[in-house]
Amino acid sequence: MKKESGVSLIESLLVVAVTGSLVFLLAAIPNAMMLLTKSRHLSLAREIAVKQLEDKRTISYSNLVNDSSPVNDTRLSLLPESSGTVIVEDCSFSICTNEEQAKQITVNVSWKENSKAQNITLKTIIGAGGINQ
Amino acid sequence: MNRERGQVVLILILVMTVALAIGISVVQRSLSDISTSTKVEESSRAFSAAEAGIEQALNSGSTIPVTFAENQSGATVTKTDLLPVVSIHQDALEFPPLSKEQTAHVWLADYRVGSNPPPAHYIQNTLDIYWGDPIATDKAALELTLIYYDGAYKTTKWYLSSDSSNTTSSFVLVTTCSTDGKIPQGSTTKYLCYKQLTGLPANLMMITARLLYNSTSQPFAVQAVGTCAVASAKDCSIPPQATVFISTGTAGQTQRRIKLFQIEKVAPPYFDYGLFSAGEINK
Repeated sequence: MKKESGVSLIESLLVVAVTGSLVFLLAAIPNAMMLLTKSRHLSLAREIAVKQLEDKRTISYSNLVNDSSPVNDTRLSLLPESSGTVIVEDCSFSICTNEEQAKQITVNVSWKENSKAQNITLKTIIGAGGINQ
Repeated sequence: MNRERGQVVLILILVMTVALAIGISVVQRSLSDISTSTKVEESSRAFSAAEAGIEQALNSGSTIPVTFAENQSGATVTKTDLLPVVSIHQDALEFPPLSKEQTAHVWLADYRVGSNPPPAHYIQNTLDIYWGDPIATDKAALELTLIYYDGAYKTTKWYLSSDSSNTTSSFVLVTTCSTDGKIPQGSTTKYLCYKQLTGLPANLMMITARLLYNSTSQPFAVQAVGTCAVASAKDCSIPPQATVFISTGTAGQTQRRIKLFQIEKVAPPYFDYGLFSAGEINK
């Protein structure tokens, strides 16, 4: 009886298909890990920024001083190449058209994700006689 | 004769299925993770913009929308007229949920006139009170202090309990409490208890309410009672005194809404103690 040796067409097609899918998956996994890291950094940066803003809201309006100060948070070291600033300034005329007694607060946290710059900016207004005053 | 059976295909399919399952779950998790954290970040921006909208409205008295070009967020604000509106069948004045020991303050006299005492506004001798959350397990009791002017400022107090477990001899157990809930006029909120205060004196100034024995925040409302002619609707209306601001902040696809309840002029919660204390009260 003749015994054929060799690989059938179906088998080789299947091998190609399986190899292709496995290669595709293996290539996608590092991307996925990077996305996980990115989302973790994004959440952390958001929490740092929100805390800075809430700290400013605990200060009474008359004690708010116009200045630009760096963010002071120990968690900032967990973000790669990170920095943050908190800017307190008089509410700009384009927003507070009635010359209200209000200050504009801008919190900016920036970091680098694989050498690509990322940042979060939160802006709000604190006014005399407003929330928590 | 041996006949080979092909099992390789089956094994290959199994291996591929497992590998695909693992790979897809990893990729799907990372995609949903980044989507969630992006939405949370947008949510923070929207909330800060909504707060800015409220601050703007409180400060300027108008409801101009706020736009922050720098971080693509903004807010629009709406403001009601002074509530409750004067009417011969007035809607209830509803307060946002009060926490334990927090005081609600309702003017019954026309506080906008600067005289001392202010002129009477609500001149009925009954008043409906609603309080409590029908589905909460902690049943709140209510302390009411009515201040009126009878040649001098005087107070009447009520101590109302909603449940026999928080009744002492000094509390009156209100029998009109029910977990089905009562809804005052013009409202869709259910309140655990309803009490009609009767035999009220003349020259009502204000009434303050404090919830007791509650651990969760529970709502409170006051409703005018009685009928008057249209020309004298003022007499059976609680004076308009509250404004509700609603600020909707938007950033990207996310919106956050802040609702602020403001009463124009409020006496401090220890006002009635101050009236009757021998010395000054300094806080």
